[in-house]
Amino acid sequence: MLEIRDLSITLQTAQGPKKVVQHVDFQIPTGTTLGIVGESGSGKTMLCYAILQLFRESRHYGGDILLEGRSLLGMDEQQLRCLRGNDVACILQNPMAMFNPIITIGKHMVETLQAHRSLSKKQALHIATEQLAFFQLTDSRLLKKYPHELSGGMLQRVMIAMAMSLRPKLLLADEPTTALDTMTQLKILEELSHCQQQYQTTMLIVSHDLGVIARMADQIVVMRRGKIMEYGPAERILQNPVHSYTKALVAAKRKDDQLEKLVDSWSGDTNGILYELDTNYWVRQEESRC
Amino acid sequence: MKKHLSLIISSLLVLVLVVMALFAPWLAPHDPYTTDIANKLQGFSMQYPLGTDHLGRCVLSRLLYGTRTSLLLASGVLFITLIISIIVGCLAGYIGGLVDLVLMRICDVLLSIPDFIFALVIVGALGGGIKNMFVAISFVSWVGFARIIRNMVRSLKESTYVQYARLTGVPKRKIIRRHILPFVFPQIFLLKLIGLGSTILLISELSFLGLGVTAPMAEWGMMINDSKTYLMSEPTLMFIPGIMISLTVLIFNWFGDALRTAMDAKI
Amino acid sequence: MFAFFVKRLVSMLLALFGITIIAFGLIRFIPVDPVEAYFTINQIPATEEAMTSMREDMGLDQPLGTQYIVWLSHALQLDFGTSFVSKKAVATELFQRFETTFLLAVTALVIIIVSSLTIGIWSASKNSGWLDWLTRTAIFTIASMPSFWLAFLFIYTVALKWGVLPLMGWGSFAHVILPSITLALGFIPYYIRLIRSSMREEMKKPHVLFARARGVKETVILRTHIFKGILPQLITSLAMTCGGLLGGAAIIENVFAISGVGHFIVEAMLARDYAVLQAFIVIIGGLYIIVNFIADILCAVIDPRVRLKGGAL
Repeated sequence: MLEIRDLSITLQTAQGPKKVVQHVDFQIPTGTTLGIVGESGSGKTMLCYAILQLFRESRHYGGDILLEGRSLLGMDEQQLRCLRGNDVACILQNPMAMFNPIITIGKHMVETLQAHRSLSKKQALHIATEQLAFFQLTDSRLLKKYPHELSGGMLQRVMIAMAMSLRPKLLLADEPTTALDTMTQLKILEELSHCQQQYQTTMLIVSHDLGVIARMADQIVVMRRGKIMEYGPAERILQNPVHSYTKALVAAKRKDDQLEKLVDSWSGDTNGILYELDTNYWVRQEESRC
Repeated sequence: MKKHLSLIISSLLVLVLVVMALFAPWLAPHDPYTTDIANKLQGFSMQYPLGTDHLGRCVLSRLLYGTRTSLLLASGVLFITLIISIIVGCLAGYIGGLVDLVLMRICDVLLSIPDFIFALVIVGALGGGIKNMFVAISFVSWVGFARIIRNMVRSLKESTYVQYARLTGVPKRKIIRRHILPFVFPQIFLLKLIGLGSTILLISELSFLGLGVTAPMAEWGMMINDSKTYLMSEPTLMFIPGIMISLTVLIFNWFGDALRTAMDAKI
Repeated sequence: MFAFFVKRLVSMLLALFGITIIAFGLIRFIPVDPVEAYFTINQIPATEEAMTSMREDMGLDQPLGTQYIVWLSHALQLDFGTSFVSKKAVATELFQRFETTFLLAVTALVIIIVSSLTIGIWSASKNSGWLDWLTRTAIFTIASMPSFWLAFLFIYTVALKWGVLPLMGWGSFAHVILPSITLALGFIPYYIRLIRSSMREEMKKPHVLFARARGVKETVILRTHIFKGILPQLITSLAMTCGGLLGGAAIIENVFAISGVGHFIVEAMLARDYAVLQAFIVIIGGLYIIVNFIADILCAVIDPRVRLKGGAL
């Protein structure tokens, strides 16, 4: 479904161009979930925006991104606009900021629907209500409410409902559970699984929380400072991590410790080459520490 | 250095204006009030560098003396409004409660009449003349600042060291003087400096309408008013004072803006 | 919403009440005795008897409080007394002139809105730094020029040298153009800058990004998200500009010899026609308060967060 080929993302900073993502390759087969895990600054959010081809004016994208074989980097704005929200939908971090505070929830959903289907407002509202009901958001007044009237968790769920309303082929989830309480987190993950089962949606989940990734992912990509450290089947990586960084991550999860604390102290080498340990299992070589 | 270029140039220009105002009697080639009907409406010449007006008075000299009038009046307004707005703002902000409510309500009502109109009406009520114009402009100008000061004082009041001072029984007046004023004063002074430009505009507008300065005093707005009848024949009489007003206001605005940028950078 | 509306309404009524007090009080503070002034202006010999009877007629022998109530009750019925100078009802005089001033101010407002919106929205999409600098410099320069001087410059170039538009007076559409443009000119650069910078700020907000990520059309984003986002700011500014427009109109009318309210006031002032002055304060102040009230309500309708913050009483 989705293939990332040798993707590099370059930002323009005050000190000159900076490569924030370097030569990333991975594939997501249709109907499966890939989880990208890494701490803040690893470039994982950048990847999401890259797939949506946003920020084209200020960032340089090298390599290619193929959606069902079609090159996204080669498309023009018009084609991309049809793709976004329709074939590729996203749920982003910090839902409170993502919604326009002066527009109702209903209007947001109608807007999304009308951007890709010719529907009257009434029809769109009807579909929106159905969608929300499917995700157990059955309050009939919800559509009339404004974003600040809802909690973060609620908004996140609305975002998911909105994203799925057009039955996208690929769903990107950037930190879907951050800043939410445990109960809501579980609920959201449940809903995401539900989506996948129901609609065979291919999913890309990005998180710094290995626990979330562990629950949802079929494949895992471990990133650090814009480079892949380890990439392979989820079970193998979780049970037998090869790279020392992954080991630190898994250890942090087991100990239920703060990810940042443990991993910050990790000072390994990230410049080794990526070699294929097994079919579809890549690990970055490290200098042996004897 | 480059960053402060704006500030340096604009303050130099302000200095030039101040010098012009202070030393007008020495800089002016003629007495601004002396009429010389025989020589009226002359163009530029060696004797009268900027020509003469309809009463034969030297335009350059009147221009210089006009600087005096405007700058003196504007600074006077600045000081009076500084004092009044600080008093009102501190009282409202510090004492709070009913005093605050009443004072701020009064300010709100006063603010709901557009500046110029209000000044116009006050001058109308009191009569024309430079003293009444001074009162009118001052009365109109202090209100906005009082509100700003009140907000500042209110937030400062919640700061830890003020609270401590109050707890340890330091008398109110001392708190205000020692802790609050030093903060409030520079900010307000800066804001007022920025407002100098608009004060000068207000002065010229009122004088233009004949409600401010009285003849034969030299004031730019009035000079433009006098030149109305000669617009076609001697347009310079209208141009020159206007350019002077614009330049002066521009310089003060620029100075204020540069000063504010410099102070912001420090913070 | 209702609570907010009521709060604001009460606030407004209090302010209107305050205005009447100021209007009334202002005149009573004049150092000149209105009766004496009346006699002097009209060149009637002021004898003791005449003055006393005049005082009684005018109700000036009553205590201040009674005077206020009498005046207020008349004012509420739009009876502002009679003018010293013209002997006609103040209300009639003022409202007659008001039409003219209103036309002038509204035309200027339309010019401001149309030109600043077109130029502002156009320039918001341009990234150039020099455009920023240009608008800032333009504001600075034009804001430093006295409006009456600008008016004269216009008159000199456009009307006299080019003979294009009529100079002074009123009557046809052509007469309206020059004065309203002159009036509008002082505000246009400010609005261009306001629209440009607030649109650019709005464009950077996360919800705009999210709208793009959902594939919403660019025109819809511009309309619903960006423009609607800057609307509250715009409305508030415009309400305040109304005050500035009225003030500016007074001067413009003077320069262009238009007999509007502004002109009338200046005359009234020179004649110490205090009934007119009182009425003027009440009407102008009242209008300004009402306009700002409407603006507040509009903002609350557009932006629901305003309703929460409430109208501080």
